[in-house]
Amino acid sequence: MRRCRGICDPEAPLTTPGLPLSGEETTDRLLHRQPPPPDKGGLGGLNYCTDTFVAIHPDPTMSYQFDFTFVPDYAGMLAQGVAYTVGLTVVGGTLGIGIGIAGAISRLWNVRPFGELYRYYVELFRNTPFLVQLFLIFFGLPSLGIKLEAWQAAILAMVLNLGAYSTEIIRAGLQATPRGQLEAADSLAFTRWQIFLHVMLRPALRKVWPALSSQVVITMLGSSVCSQISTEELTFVANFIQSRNFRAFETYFLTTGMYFALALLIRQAMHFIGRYLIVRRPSR
Amino acid sequence: MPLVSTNRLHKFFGKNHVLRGIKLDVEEGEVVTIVGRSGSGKSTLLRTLNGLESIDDGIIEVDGAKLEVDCADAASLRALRLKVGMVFQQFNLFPHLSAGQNVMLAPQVVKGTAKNETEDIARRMLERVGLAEKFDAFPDQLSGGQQQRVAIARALAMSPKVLLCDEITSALDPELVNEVLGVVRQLASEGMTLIMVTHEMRFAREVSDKLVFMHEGKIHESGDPQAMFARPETPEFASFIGSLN
Repeated sequence: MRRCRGICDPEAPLTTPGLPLSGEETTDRLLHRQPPPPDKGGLGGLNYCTDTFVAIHPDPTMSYQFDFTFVPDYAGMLAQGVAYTVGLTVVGGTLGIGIGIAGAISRLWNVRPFGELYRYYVELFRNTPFLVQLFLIFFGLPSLGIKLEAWQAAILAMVLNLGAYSTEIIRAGLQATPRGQLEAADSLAFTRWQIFLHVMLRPALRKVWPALSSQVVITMLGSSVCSQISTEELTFVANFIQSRNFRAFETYFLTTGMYFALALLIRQAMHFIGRYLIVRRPSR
Repeated sequence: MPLVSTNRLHKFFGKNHVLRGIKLDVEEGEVVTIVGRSGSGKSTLLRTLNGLESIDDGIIEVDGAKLEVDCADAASLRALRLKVGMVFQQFNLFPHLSAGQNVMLAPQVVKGTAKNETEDIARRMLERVGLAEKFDAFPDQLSGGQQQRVAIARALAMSPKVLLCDEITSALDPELVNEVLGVVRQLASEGMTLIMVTHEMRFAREVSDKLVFMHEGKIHESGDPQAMFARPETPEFASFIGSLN
């Protein structure tokens, strides 16, 4: 059944992207038609389809020829896309976590008026799709006279989105501060903000760092959506390339690999930041 | 003029009347031990002395820093806490800082002392509790006894007028109790004003200038520890020391 899709249609091979068979080639292969393989499923009705299929692809197990020869031509463009995505992630991640820290403590202590504002902001951004947030910022804000470039809108959306999630993640970490440590700091005459800065923050970040790292990776992957407002990040570049070479499978296969590598890289970077900036101790 | 004085101190936990009019005076250099059955309010009394528990009536005065019910604002709380150091049962060291940094933090942050100066203070204080070589060790690398000694050094680094010790050996393995008591004994001999809650009766008898027995939220009996143990005046205290053996 599976092998029949689109292949029963004699026009299909010519319109399928990535299969640049000229008319001559097709005819040539049809002339060297091989006998159909024995019918395994017992579905006699499929025989014709299988015939046609075999006619186009002599070896059914090698039904698709990968062709990555286009890569060198687009290497610079891909590198730019990667750089753009990394840039979005670094700026978005840093500012987003910054907003998260401020939000977490505002929410925890209900600092007026920020605690209440953060509550609405967090709910709004955690309960709506990122794409819609992006569209609202890029296409919606101009109506209020705030006109942003695509990259500005992309960064703003990423910062706000990550800020909302990290607010809740970091708040959980702050809340987990043992009471005894707060009392110890109190008894040493710390002010509230000194307690937050010197006693609560680092252990809290340390506790939630894995969750926060995941959220940064999710945000990085989510940045692919920014291609929709023509931010020239990796997915945008991929879309552009495949629209030129019609090699959709190869292009997105490559892009998938690049995102995967990027995600691992960012996770590793977050691990190092956590280790040296937050833990700040030589060994365990 | 006593260094620490409380008057008419009342405290409620909900409907539970925990402190029922405490009047306690502690002179400079005095070592006072508070004993009593669990639930008698001894820890609560100690915790009110540096504002960890709010009070519902009465007045606390430590070396001129006054805390009253009506004016227990952040500033007067801080003023009181600058005079009063506290050591806890569970040590409560900051886990992300080394022993040295634990001691340095408060002078640096609260008093704004320069970093090299606080490092000197920290090294001196750690030496005082016999842990000079543990300056760079983190709390989870130290034994309970060592952690508690760092906690004492941390409190001392703020040069408090009086040090409160809330059952500071209760969470320790028996073989580690003595190293902590040794530090307290040394502090007492150096003339530090100490108010402690403890279950180590022999130690209390040995180092205390004054013993306070609390019962049902009141100071039931107090005085010279030797005399009190030899001739308990109230049946409650008699039964309390009877239950210890």
